[in-house]
Order: sequence, then structure tokens, then C-alpha cells
Amino acid sequence: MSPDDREPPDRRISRVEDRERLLAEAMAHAEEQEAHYRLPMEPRRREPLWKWAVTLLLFVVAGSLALSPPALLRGPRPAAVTPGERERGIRAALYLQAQQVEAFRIQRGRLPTSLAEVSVRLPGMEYVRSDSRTYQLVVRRPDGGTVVYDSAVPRRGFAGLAAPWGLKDHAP
Amino acid sequence: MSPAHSGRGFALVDALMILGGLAVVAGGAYPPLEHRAYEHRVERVVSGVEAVKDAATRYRDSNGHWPGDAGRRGVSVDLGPLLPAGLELSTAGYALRWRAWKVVEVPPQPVRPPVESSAAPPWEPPAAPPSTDSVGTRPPVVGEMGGIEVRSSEDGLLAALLDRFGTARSFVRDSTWTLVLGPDSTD
Repeated sequence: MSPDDREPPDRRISRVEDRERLLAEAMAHAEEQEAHYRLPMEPRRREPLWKWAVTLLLFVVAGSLALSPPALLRGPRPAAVTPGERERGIRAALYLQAQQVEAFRIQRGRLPTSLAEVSVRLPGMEYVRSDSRTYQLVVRRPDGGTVVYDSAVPRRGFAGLAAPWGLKDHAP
Repeated sequence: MSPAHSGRGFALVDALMILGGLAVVAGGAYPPLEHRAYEHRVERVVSGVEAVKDAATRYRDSNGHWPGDAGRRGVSVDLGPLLPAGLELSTAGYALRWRAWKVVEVPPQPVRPPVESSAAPPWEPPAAPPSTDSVGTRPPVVGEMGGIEVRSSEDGLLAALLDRFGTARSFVRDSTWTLVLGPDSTD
């Protein structure tokens, strides 16, 4: 028995072989614990190519359905206003505006100085007085052209427009 | 055994495939739903126009003239009480407005009673010469006409209104469709 063994444990100085033994026991315990949780690594699985192809196809089909659906899905396409109907609309609006000017002339005995004086003013119209008796109403088309209502020749381009409205075909 | 152990796991491509399938279903369902919504809008605006037209016609039948112009409002104060409750004049897709226009009218010709040739005429013509009894010499008078406007940025909606009410009594200018209710408009 060495002199150290006779000392109480808290006073005993550890020896090198004791420390190595303790360390080896701890390492062995750790290895044993880790072995319980260690699972063999699976080799990385490659997804089949057909899955990617199908996925891509599905997204392409979805996009084409949303952007340009077939007639079967979208139903009848809403109609659009034709250029001829738009031209007729401009003339009808000019005729109506001219009626407001003529009504003003009958009631006041003179032409209005501007369209602000008449009862209803339609937007996008220019009113030009040639003299105290005649005037023109001008609408500019989106393409840059103009449509003119001339009170001196009111029937030109406007004849028959008001007949379906129940107005006699007299020019204002 | 867990799916991971069996080699049949749920991979990214599987999730994308399911997402793609859902996208196809959504892409196929969207156009019919959009068309249904468009048809619903058309029906709603047509019924709104019909309601305003009926109310204005009833007002004219009772009062002898069309309701006043609405100005910046949707309908005039004359017309408001005659409209059905809950009628939406302005929504996200369109706005309805009542208009009252002045028109120039020529009074109708006086009708002479028929004259029997065998007997003495019971009615003597007026002293004025017949030449003054023509349309050209009768002074025009100011009458009035009604109208319903629908403003919408949706061209298809305006075209549908033209189609529904006819191009003779209605027209489109810019983004506004107008239905004209003439002096003798009864329908």
C-alpha cells in the first residue's frame, strides 16, 4: 500500500494511470451510448425523371388554361363595340348637344357663348361660333380625325339619326 | 417501419406535382367563373336600366314631363322615390345616371275636319292663308327627352347594352352607353 492510499479519498492525489483508466471508461461509455442512436446512412435517392416531366407539364397546362382558355371553358366571348357603332355614337352625341344649343337659342333668342350656358353639356366637345347665327360642334376621334356638326348644314351626316328616338326628322 | 426507412418518402417533386394538379384545376375553373361574373354584371346593369326607365316613364305619365336632370348625382330627386329599394346605381363596374335633355320640336299640323262636297260646308277655313299652315312656317318649340347613361370602362358591358336595347335607341360614346327616351317613348 502506497502512502497515498492511506490518505482519505479527498486528500488523495490522483495518479496518471488512474486518470487514464477513468478517461478510457468514459470514452467506452460514450461509444456505447452513441451506438444505440447511430443509423446506417441511406444512399441519396434520385427522384425519377418522369415526375419532374409531369410536374412541368402540369404547370404548362395550367398556365395555358389561365392565359388562353379554350372556347369550351370560357363560353361565348363578350362582344366589343364596333368602330361603326362608335362613329354613330359620336354623331348621336353631337346631335343631342346641338339640340341643347338650339333649345337655348329658341328660349333666349341668341346662341350661347359657350356650352357652359346650355342645360346639358356632353364631355369632349368643342363649340365654335362662326357668327351670331351659326356654330360648329367638333369631336375629336381617338385616331386624330374629327367629326363636325355644322349648324349651317345640319343634315349632312346626321339625317335620320333622331327618327328612332321619336323626333321628327327636322334639323335643329 | 417509417416511410423514410422504406425508401418511399414524400419528396419535393411530389409536392410540386400536387401543386401543378391544383393549378390545372384552378386554371380550368377560372375562365367559366369569370364569364359567369360578367354575365351577372350584365344582368344587374340591364335590370338597373329597366328599373330607372320604368320609374321615369311612370313619373312622366303622372306629371306630363320627364324627371329633371340628375346633374352629378345618379338620379334626380323626382326619380329617387320611384326607384325600387336597394337598387345600386353605382358599383365598382359601372355607374348609372338619369339625364334630361331639351329637344326642338315642331308642333303637329292642325287637322281640318272632312268637308262634304254635296252639302254646304259646316266649317269655314280660317282667314289666314293656307301657305302659313305648313311645317316650314310653324315656329319650333322646346320639348324634352329623357335618357339613361351607363358609364363603364368595360367595353364588353357597353356592347352587351347596345345589343340588349338596340342600336336605334341607344349609342356608345367613349366609355358611356346612352339610352334615349324620346318624347313619345312609351315602351
